[in-house]
Amino acid sequence: MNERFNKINSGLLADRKVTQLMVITAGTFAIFSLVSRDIFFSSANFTSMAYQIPEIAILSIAVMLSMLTGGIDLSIVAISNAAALVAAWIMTTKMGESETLSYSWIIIACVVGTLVGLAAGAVNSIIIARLDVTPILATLATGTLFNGIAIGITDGVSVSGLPENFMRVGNGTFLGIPTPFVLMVVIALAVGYFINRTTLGLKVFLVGTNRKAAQYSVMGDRKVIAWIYLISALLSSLAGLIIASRTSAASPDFGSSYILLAIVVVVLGGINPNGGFGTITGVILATAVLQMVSSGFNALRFSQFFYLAAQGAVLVFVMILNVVLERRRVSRSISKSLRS
Amino acid sequence: MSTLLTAEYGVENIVKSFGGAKALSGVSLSVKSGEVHCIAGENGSGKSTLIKIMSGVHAPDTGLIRLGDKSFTKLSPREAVHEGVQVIFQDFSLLPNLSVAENIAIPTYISENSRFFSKSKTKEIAANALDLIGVDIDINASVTDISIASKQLIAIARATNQGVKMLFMDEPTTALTRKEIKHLFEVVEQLKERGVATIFVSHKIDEIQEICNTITILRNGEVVADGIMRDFKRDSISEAMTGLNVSETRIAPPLKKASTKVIEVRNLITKPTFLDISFSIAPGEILGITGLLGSGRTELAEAIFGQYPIDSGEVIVEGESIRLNSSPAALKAGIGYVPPDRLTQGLFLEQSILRNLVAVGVDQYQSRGKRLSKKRLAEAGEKWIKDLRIKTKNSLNPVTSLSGGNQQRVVLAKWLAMNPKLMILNGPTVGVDIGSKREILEIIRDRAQEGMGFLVVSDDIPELIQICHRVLVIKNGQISKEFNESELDEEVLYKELS
Ligand SMILES: Nc1ncnc2c1ncn2[C@@H]1O[C@H](COP(=O)(O)OP(=O)(O)OP(=O)(O)O)[C@@H](O)[C@H]1O
Ligand SMILES: [Mg+2]
Repeated sequence: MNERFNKINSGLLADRKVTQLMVITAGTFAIFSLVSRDIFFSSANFTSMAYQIPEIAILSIAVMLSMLTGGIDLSIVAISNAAALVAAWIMTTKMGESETLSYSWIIIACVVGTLVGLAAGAVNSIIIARLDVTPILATLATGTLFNGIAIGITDGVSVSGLPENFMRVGNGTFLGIPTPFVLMVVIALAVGYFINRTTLGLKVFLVGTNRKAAQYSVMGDRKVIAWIYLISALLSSLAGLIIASRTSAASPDFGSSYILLAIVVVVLGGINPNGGFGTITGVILATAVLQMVSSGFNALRFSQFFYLAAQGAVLVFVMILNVVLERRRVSRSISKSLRS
Repeated sequence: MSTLLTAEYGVENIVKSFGGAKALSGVSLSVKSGEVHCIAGENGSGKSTLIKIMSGVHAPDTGLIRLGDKSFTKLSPREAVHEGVQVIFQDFSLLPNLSVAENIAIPTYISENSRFFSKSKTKEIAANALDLIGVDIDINASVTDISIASKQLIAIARATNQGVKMLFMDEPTTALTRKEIKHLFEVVEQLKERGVATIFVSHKIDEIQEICNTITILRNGEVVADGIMRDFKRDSISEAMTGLNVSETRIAPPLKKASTKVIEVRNLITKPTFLDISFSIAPGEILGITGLLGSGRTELAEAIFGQYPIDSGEVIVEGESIRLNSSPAALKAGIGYVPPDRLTQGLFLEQSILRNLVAVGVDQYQSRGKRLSKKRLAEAGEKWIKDLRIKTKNSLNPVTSLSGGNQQRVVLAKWLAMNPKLMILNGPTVGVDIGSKREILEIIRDRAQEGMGFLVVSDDIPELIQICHRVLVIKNGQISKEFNESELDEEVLYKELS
């Protein structure tokens, strides 16, 4: 399809944000490569980043989807851990004393884990789409609930020592590229196809822009929202399995900081928190930027607190940039409300 | 009893373009205090743009703005407010999360530079302001939950406050019925006495003839005529606006005899909004419904479409009783609905014109595997832009870049694309210029000739007379009178309404 058709879906505004982000990504890369030529600009570092980026990218894509509808999913990490725990429990129970497990059992474990994640997503869908509870409150509550159940069942102990052949997924390569990275690309393409090339995807943007107009256009706004929280849960579960495979463990309190990080990524990626606008490319680029900042700071031996502060600084910077660039649009409505 | 010294407000040689397209090319006008000046012109001729420039919302490319004895090449909204400028914007721009009272009172607080909000004072200001324009709205309600007519009244109440010296009214009457408009005009007369200069924009020519002293007519961003209102006749105004002689004669097509009904509504009841309403529409028939604010006409239209609860009754489409209280069921049965408030109910404002055009029938544009066919999407967009003559260069521009009348066409097109059996139009030509209005009525006529049934809810009596075969008047939730083709007469209808 030609460029004109591409723009139909991404929207002109979103396009500008992606260009912006590309510049930021290139700039960040250039700066760290210059400052830390031997450590940051090394194949060892690139490989390590390629293993770390996918988990956060996939979780961020999940957050992006809910944000496109004007909501948010705060239960992603709880769901991701739940899926990983169930899969890990099945695997460790089945393998007993041996180091490996048959592939069919590994697949069964992953499928069951994903199904549990989807069940959690269905709870979100019902509470948000059917009962009209505000997404931020609903998912905060369900996230805490899922997490609580997981801690209750496991006593807060992590399940470790997963089969070696399962770990190969999270630590191996496919055609020379780290497997998690390949999985991330596949997932990003699939979600990109979903939001840009399907009718349900188009409805996501419309519902996120104006829910009431969506109701008057009879496009099944509740169904659209229900689907989104299911897909968000699916992506979270996949992220959980990848994490378990990389770390050889699953635990109920893994990665609680990921929620905040995912939100930072999504906002940096140019997704409008009010819904209706955003691109998957933006989210991937934003993940890359934040990972580079993290790795770069590591390479320069800055403390992790410094990295946290930098995350915040990046967020503030992007927000200000967005405001400045959209000043015309914004100032119009602000000045209206000022006089009003 | 003039309390203001005679002052003059105006612009000189204003030029303004939006990304290459000229919206205004060298416009000048002036208004004296105590004068009501009309800006007339087709949709997209630059009326709102001019008002936004005079109130500091948009900066002109070149030109001068004069407010009293001060001149500005650049004006900020704050400076404008400081000079006593108040605006009733075409889209009202109320603050959605605040109550009615807060929305009305905020400008008073701002003009008093006060930082303390007191609940009782807020309510007092709001109650007084609403009292002044003679309307009764629950001041504690959130503005998100109220009707479009109430929103418009609130925007009016807010702007007609104490400090105003120069008042802009950009289509302030679109959602109002004759009763509220009469009240509004009394308020305008009072302001006039006080020496306020007013600029009034409306597409209803009898309104501007009634209230305005002077007039400027714009076409494509240029002044094509100006002068004293008395020197202009109805025809000369519309001709100056459009360059054409716009006919306002009746165009309802002859109704073919039909034994079937597109829709039958039987004993519809939702207490206390409407009580026992029954009517039917034949294929190709255009049925009008009118009534005052709060009469239940909008609720009735929404109820048939499943957006307003029905307690009991029956809705039968082409002989089959449909499930009530369900828009999907209504849509499936072949009912379309163009809601009255295009900004919040009709359009996805920041999204592209194309996406808006296909919003109802998105699923029609999928090929196998739920895949969206972009080619068909783009073709549909092109078709509707051409068919309804939507004035835009690029269907990927946001729908906000269109003028009001063109936005209305987008909402209409979105539903025509579904080819419904019954089309319910709630205020189909709200804010549409006289030429476009005729064109929209012609679209309705053509569709009716092909057999589409229409239910047209409107306050615009002349419009109903032009297009309808029959008109029902609703009063207190009941059909108070039915007028057949031969009985349709402006005076009689107005009388029934009051
Ligand atoms: N923010 C904007 N961006 C791009 N074009 C704009 C913008 N605002 C207005 N225009 C264009 O400027 C022209 C004048 O628009 P304007 O809103 O002033 O018309 P109007 O006379 O008020 O029409 P209406 O009667 O429909 O309200 C139109 O062609 C419109 O598309
Ligand atoms: Mg306008």
